[in-house]
Amino acid sequence: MADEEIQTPQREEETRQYLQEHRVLELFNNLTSQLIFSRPGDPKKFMIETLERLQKSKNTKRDYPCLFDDSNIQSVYGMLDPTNRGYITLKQYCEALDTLGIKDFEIRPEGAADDRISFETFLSEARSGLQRASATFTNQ
Amino acid sequence: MDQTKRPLLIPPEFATYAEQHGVFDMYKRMLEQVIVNKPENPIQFLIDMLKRDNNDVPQIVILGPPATGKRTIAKMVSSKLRTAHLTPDNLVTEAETDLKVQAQQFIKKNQTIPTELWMTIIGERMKLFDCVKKGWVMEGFPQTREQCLALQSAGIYPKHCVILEAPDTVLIERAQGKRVDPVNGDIYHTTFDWPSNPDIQGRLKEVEGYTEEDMINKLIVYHRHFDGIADCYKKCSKTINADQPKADVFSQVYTFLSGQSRSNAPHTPRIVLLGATGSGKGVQASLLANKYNIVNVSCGHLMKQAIVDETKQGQAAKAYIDKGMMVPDNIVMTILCNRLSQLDCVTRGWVLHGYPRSREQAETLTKDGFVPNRVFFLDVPNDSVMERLTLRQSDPITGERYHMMYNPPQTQEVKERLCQQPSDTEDAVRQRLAQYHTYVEEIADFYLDAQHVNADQDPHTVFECIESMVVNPLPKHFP
Repeated sequence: MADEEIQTPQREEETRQYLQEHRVLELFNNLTSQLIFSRPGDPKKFMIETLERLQKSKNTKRDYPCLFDDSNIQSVYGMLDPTNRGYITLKQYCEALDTLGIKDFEIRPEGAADDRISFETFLSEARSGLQRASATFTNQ
Repeated sequence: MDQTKRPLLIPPEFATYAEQHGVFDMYKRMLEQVIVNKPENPIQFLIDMLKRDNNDVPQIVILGPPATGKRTIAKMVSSKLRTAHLTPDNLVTEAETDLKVQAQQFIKKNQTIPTELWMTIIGERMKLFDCVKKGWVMEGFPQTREQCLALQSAGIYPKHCVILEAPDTVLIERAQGKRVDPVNGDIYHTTFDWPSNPDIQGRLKEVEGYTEEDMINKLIVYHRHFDGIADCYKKCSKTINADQPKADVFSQVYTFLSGQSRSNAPHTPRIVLLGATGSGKGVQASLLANKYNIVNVSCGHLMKQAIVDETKQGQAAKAYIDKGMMVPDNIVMTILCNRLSQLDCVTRGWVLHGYPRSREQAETLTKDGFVPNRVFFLDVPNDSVMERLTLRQSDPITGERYHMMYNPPQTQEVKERLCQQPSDTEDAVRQRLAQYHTYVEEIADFYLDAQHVNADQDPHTVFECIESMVVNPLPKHFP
């Protein structure tokens, strides 16, 4: 690690900006969650594979490596709506998305006024949110 | 959200996993390289970096005034560790043609090569296969603090820095006997290091620029820049006296290089202390437990506790103990597992003693997920054990404990009423010693990276020795 004294405030700021711009820290967080989830025998090989998948999805703009898929979203929804009313409340909606680790989701989605959020709205919001969370790179 | 305030929902097994695979250090390296290089596409950069797979390679700088034997030591180190050997000379001569021409122009005019040119040369050299894959030993460079800082901002930072040192008068004297082999650049000395091969003897030449006056000038320059450089590398450097036979210098350098610097990775100590009866396992365990706030797990105490508490396992164990038989492994293991999987052991770490006593037990321990990260053998000769244990006496009235040699009772009256604990008789001790020695070898076979500690010393000396190996990463073995 470099000597601290040569890291002038300006360089520090540059680095911070760089990390933010390229979403490096979020990338590392996602890598960690993948690693914790699968605990592979050879973490290095696993990380190369994950990064390559991410690289590929960056080019094709689909199939982002993510721990959750539609079935998980469905079961989260199922838990909140055990009696099959066909909707969940706004509070439940916010909590559920937060639990899935999604940030900056639509706080006033369709049906927020009646406090009734349909499964379709929830699914699409969760999908795009997860995609945003796992697409840890800059889109040039 | 602030990243540091995120709730940590990480299962405890992951800590063990991360520690085993060095995940923390891998992350540190990755982030470090991304920050230093700031690549346009960090994902591709990380893929390339992980594929290169060169985290363990030695990266060494050897510094010292002229004629301290940098070349000789660097050659020995690079051939032993099979790394690339870089010197200021061969960096220039092996550089790309246009860089080489530029650099040689400076040398011809007797000027110093500007730092930027050095950085380009070194940067290119570091990308070559041998440096990347096998590591490097750089000798006699950086020569100024400026170069040193430039290297750092390029992300080139040694893991070890060896500083050779000798009094100036010794160096001046030594320089006059310096001879070089023109064929391969090996350095010899007329009195201290004369080649045995007559062919080499014949072709040795004197080296230019090593007269007394030259040496004085060189030393002045060296001392002027030295403090600045040493300050940059103070975290990873070690000074070694070069005024010794070269084999001695090398062995000291080698010991230093095989040590690894302390890592910032979170570390929960899981220690197993093994040793014969009376080797001081209990004492060391409680010292460790007190100082590092880890849980002291004594297998014997756990068993006694279980029996007193009249738990199911305790009652089962009692039946065996009453008959004077060994308690079966599965009962002991259940009791031990219960203790080791409690929250305090998982989060703070543990120091276990009195277990395992056989290879099977060690294997079960590992199989059940309790993998120690440090194992110590406390080695004591049998005679010392006898002396420590069989002379112990206690006073049945006051409960005071005495040792007939180290802490004898003051009065005749006390002396007469002293009794010996039944397990301290010579026969009993001898039996336990024999039991230990039957199994010790197969346990040692199982724990390959166990460390042996000479426990026939003052308890605090032994403790310091153990402590240093708990706190620092284990020394590396070069293939």
